[in-house]
Amino acid sequence: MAKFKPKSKVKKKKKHRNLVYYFTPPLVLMLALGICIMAYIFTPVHMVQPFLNLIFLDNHKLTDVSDGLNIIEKDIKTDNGDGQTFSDGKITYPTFGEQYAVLSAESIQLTCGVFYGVNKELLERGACQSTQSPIIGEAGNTVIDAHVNTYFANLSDLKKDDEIILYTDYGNFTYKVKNLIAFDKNDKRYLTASDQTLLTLYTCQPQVIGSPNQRIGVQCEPVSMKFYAPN
Amino acid sequence: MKKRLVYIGSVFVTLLMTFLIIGLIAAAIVQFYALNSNHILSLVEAKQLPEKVSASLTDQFNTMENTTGIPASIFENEISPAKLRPLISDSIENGFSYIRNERANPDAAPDFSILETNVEKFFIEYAETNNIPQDETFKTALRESIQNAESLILSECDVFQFRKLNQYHYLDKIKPFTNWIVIGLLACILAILLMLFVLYGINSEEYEYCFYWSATAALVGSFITLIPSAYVKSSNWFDRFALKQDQTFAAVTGYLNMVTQHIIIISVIGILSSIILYALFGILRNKRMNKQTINEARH
Repeated sequence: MAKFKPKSKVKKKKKHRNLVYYFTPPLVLMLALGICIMAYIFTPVHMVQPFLNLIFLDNHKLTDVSDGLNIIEKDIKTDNGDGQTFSDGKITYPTFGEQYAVLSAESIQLTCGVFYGVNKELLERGACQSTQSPIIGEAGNTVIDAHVNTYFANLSDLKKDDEIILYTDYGNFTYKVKNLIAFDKNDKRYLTASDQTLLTLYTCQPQVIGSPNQRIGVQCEPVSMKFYAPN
Repeated sequence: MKKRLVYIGSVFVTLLMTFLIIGLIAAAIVQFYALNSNHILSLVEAKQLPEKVSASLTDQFNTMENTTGIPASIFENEISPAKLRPLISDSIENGFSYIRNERANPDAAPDFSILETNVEKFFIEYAETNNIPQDETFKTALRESIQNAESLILSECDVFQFRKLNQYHYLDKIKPFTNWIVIGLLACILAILLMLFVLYGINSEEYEYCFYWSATAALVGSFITLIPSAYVKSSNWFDRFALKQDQTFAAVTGYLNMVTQHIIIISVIGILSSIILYALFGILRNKRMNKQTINEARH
């Protein structure tokens, strides 16, 4: 004999079943997303994140894609002021294309802006600091270059012990010339990281005709580091 | 109890199918769009790459004139957009062919004979006018100037920076995977067919549920690929690309936006397919319910 089920119970069971199947796609979506999140956390995929952050580091939201570079020129004070300074302090990190320092070398009457990042447009506006070198005020070899036919035209006139000052919004930093350097354009030994805190300025060696393959410049050691705010 | 087991089994198979569909979408995008030179070459005109490269080279040779003494006009004809177009296309074609293991290296080997003749002619005339001896130093300067000019042109035309990436062995890390894309694509298709058979086996009593579960897998898989792609495209996330050199920025962001767009299109097709499958499920389910109702009424 067939099992008797009241009509209402059958209808209720069908309604319940229908509800389950309505909520199943969101349930499957949540399960799938949960698996994706666990895969991201527990597999080496998350190690790619720092590289992605580096490749897509420019967080300026651009409205016009063709503009590309966002150049920021700033008015930076070049007087030392009367305020208290500290030997170790807070650094304000610049973005690519931002002028974040003023370089001054009185012995060769040089004053120019220093931009963070090196490219053709920035080199037209001032000296450029390599993004692969530490920020002014940080430990290591800070590398700054400019064109020989513009801002660094007199760089070769610098002598040992000449003073160079870098002014920023977070401090001013004084260096003195330690070495005069000359190297081939493919020789990176003066441009690489260093345990010592140095400032390397360089430009192309001028010549009568032809592309310059030699670079000339100076390596400087710090004399004083004056931060405007403590760390 | 049996219905619960059928439900749980179907959810599990659907989850597997979801990830297989995501894998299929990824493999299809890479095989047919991301590594397909024909699609990528369309960027050359769309993003006006020859014009950007020409402008950049003109600027650089004008700037270099102050330090080298070589007038930029010597290079003018050789750096026009018309002359650069084939160089740029070759560099893109060679680069992606190298990634697909169809070439030994990504380098282009263009004909610079006219440029070399122009530079040499200028050097000789300059030397004769200024009484500069055409000694070894002079010949070295001439040779280096030609090499530097050619190297600069090739470097600017290499809009995706394949030579630099190859120099630092980044391309060697990608190359082994390209051999597996077609295999991966076929494996995903076969695995999806297998999952469909398993679904049919689990839901053999009410086979119309195969359409329901397939639709769910297609819907969830397509959502998972659609949502991040739509966010990235709508927020212009790729504009944060760090290299701001005009032609490289345009080429790379154009390529990434193109691939993202195709992911969005395929995801939308997946969602539409799932709607069709849900509709088929609805029709078949209704048919079965009507048949059941008629049978119950008869008894």
